[in-house]
This record gives sequence, C-alpha cells and structure tokens, in this order.
Amino acid sequence: MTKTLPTGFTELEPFIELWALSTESERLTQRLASTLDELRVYYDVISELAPRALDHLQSFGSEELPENETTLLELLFSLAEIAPAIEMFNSVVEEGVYDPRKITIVHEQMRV
Amino acid sequence: MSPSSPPNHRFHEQYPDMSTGAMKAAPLLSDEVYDNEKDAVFGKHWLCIGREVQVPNRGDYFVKEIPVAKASIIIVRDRSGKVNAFHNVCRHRSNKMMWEQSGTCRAMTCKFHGWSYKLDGSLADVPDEGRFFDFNKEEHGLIRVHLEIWRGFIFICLAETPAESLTQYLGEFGSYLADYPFEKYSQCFAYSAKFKCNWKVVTDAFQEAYHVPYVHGKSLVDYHHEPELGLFDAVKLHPRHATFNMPSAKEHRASRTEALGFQYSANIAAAISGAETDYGQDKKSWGFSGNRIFPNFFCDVLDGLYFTHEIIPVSRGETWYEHRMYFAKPETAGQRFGQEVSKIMLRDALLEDLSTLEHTQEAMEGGALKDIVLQDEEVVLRHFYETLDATLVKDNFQPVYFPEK
Repeated sequence: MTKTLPTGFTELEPFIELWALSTESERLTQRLASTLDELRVYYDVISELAPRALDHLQSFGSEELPENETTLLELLFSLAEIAPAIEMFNSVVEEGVYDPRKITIVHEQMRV
Repeated sequence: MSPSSPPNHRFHEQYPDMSTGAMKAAPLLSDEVYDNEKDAVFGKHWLCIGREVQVPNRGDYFVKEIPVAKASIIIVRDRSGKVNAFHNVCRHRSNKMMWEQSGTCRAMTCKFHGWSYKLDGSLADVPDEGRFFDFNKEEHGLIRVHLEIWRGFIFICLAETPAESLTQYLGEFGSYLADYPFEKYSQCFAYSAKFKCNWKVVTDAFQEAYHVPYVHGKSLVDYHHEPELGLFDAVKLHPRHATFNMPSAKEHRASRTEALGFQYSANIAAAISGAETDYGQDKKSWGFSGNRIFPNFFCDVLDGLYFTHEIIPVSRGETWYEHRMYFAKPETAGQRFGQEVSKIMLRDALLEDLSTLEHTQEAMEGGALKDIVLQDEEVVLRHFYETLDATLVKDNFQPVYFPEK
C-alpha cells in the first residue's frame, strides 16, 4: 500500500519511499546506506519544510494521527536521524565511532 | 564558579585521604581478579536491573540475565501487587522456566514436566505428585532472590543474606536525588551491546569529563571550559557511590534541528545549556548530574530527562551494556519529534563514548603499560578503584589497584 501525505506537502512525495520509515532501525539503516550527498538532498528539503510540518501536525493535539499525517511525522523522524550527519559530523556516520550496526535497539524489540 | 582550593588538585584537597599515585593496570587483565570480583562485588552488592514500570500489572514479568553470576532472574508482579525476583530455575530438575524475555502470565509453568508456580513463586501444581517421596510442595517454591525498590528502580542482591538493606546500601546517596521526578519520565528508549572489553573499561568511560573535548569534540564542540577550572562542577564521594556534576555549556549554540526539536520537548540541548535546575548538591547552573551506584550502574539526571548505564560482565574480556534514556510521555507529534531529535543526538554521542572501549582493551592485553596515571579530575575513577580494593579486602583478598595505599 503506497503511503500518502497530507495536502500541502507535495515536495516531500519523492522521498516517501526512502524516508517514510516507521522504526528507528529502518531509519538508521537508510542513513547508513546513503552517501552524504544523498542525505543532503533530503535534508535540504525536509529541514526547510519541518517548521511548517510540525505546526500542521500540532493541530491534532494529542489525538492519534491519521495515516497520511503519520507518514509526514515519519519523514520528520528521518530528519532527526540524519541531522547530526549534516549539522555536526559532515559524514554519514562520525569517523571512528563504535559501529551503530552492532547496537541493539532494544525499545523496538521488546516491552521496556 | 571558582574553586575554593588551588585549581589543579582541588578534589584532592576535598578528599585528602585519597591516593595520588598511579594505579596498577595488571589487575584489569587478571582472571583471578575477575573471579574474585565476580563473588566479592557482583555476588554481594545490590545491583540495579530495571524499573518497576517494566512490570506494571499483576502477572507481568521480565527475565534478567546476569552472565557474571551465570544467573537468569525472573522479575514478576504477583497477585498481591508485590514485585518478586526468583532464579529462573525449576525446582524439579533445574530446567529454565521462562524462555521469553518478557510477557504476562497467570502462572509460571515449566515446559519440561508441567510443574506450575504461582506468581508469588509458590509451587501450585505437580503432575504425578503422589509418585514423589516425602514430598511437600511448600518446600519447593521458586528460589527467591532479594529484591528491593528505590525510586522505582529494581535492585537485586544475589547473596543469601544481603549485608545491608538497599536503604543502608545507598546511604546518604539515596536521599540525594529525593526531589528528582523519575516517575515523570516514563517514555524509555534503550540500546544494548556486547563489548570485547573488561567491564571496568566500560564503567570508566562514564565517570570522568576529561575526555569530553576530545571524544565529543564534534558533538559538543562548544562545550567550553577554562582549563584552570577543571571539568566537573562538583563532586561528592560517598563510601561506595559517587556524584559528579557537569557544568552547563552556556555557549552552546543549538544546531538547526536541535533548536527546532527543543521548541517541543526537553532535550540534551536545553539541559546542557544550563536551565537553572533544582536538583543536586550545587543547585545552580549545572548541565547534568552523573551518579554512580556501585558497582555497575549510573543514573545521570538532567532537567527534563535522565539516562542510565548498566554494565554487566560476561567474562574477563567481555561485557554486556545497556543504555536507557527516559523522557516524559510525549502527547503531541511535536513532542515525539523533539524526543526523536534528542534521542538520536544522545545515541550518536554515546557512539563516541563507546569508540575507545575495545581499542583500549586491545592495547592493554599485551601488558605493556604497568601503571595507569590519573589526574585530579579523574577522582571519581580513582574512588571507584579504591572502592573495589576495599571490597576485595573485606572479602580477605589483597588490594590490587592501589596495593601501596
């Protein structure tokens, strides 16, 4: 089933397939599978739209989000995932750090 | 913040009885010391292994593996609401009882011969009971492990009789965080890994700030300190536990996404840029308070979130580690986003802390370095090893880290 976005965010449609991911481990995997340039392409678009997207999502308050709004939030989670690469490290993963693929993301594996 | 003592040995002035000499490196490689610590440290002290909220309802359980003790422990909330700890071992022929890491059950039943235990550990049902000899079910309940709870944190003690209650064990330290609202921060994110290094190489990554400008040079690039003031804001050493406060980084400029996240949720940026906070010994403008509960648990508290490090030895050269971050339960999409930003930043900073562990172990294995030199600001580390020595001595072993002290 193809994910869709709410009206007004068509600029993000090309990125749904790669970045509308519902788990941290998928988003981390996608980050690690990308080049820095590929991350920048997404970063430039999503970081520009993020304030408006968040404003829009805040209108739902604490209600459960409809599916297409969740897709928008997932794209924002992917911004959170790639932001350090662009804003801090200028590298997909910081050079010399412990390999993130060796870390178990426990909160997605069991009830903590 | 100016120190009241000369800036280069201020902690030694605060704690003049502590050693100043080098520490021996060989014990970190010794199988004998590992074996001794297995019993004297992990076999006898209170170990923090989770939080009560992991078993919110009657029948909820989780299983905690403690490799250093070759123990598997069931933590289960019984019908009366009490949280119990049992060895995950059937009283019949020692089969492992619970094979899932967590769940909810009405009773605990062994898959081998159907022995069934109530949630309070008592043996309820034994198929073919009449064929046992002089058999009284009351004498064959699950083997209980001592469990006590402090501020929602579950501690267990593997000793047959703990030398002290948990309250006595925590002592003055226990009241130190009395005001911190742990219960408010129930949204938990957790990461674990197994490292090829001794458990103390892991603990040492988290009990000094000397490494911050180097290890975290890219993530905390503007965490500026005047070198003459040192890196800790304040340190308080208890007989076994320790508190060390990191000053805030007032010069910290949030990155674009960090600033956006901060609009919606507490995060590390807010904390380290030094909101006036109410917790801890020196209540003004500290970034966060690191707290080591001996032997292997850290609970670091900030304004709006806290995180923990849990370190369990697997073998002399292998260690299991789990990192948990706790936030307030997010209610809006914005809060979820803000937490995601903070979580990823913390996770990436953690990868920096973990970067040296296996390299250090590898470099140590050859035994080339005989003495580890510690500066005054590494006082919490020094205190940790002095405490380990004291623990060994109490169990009639020789002190090994500072044998001359």
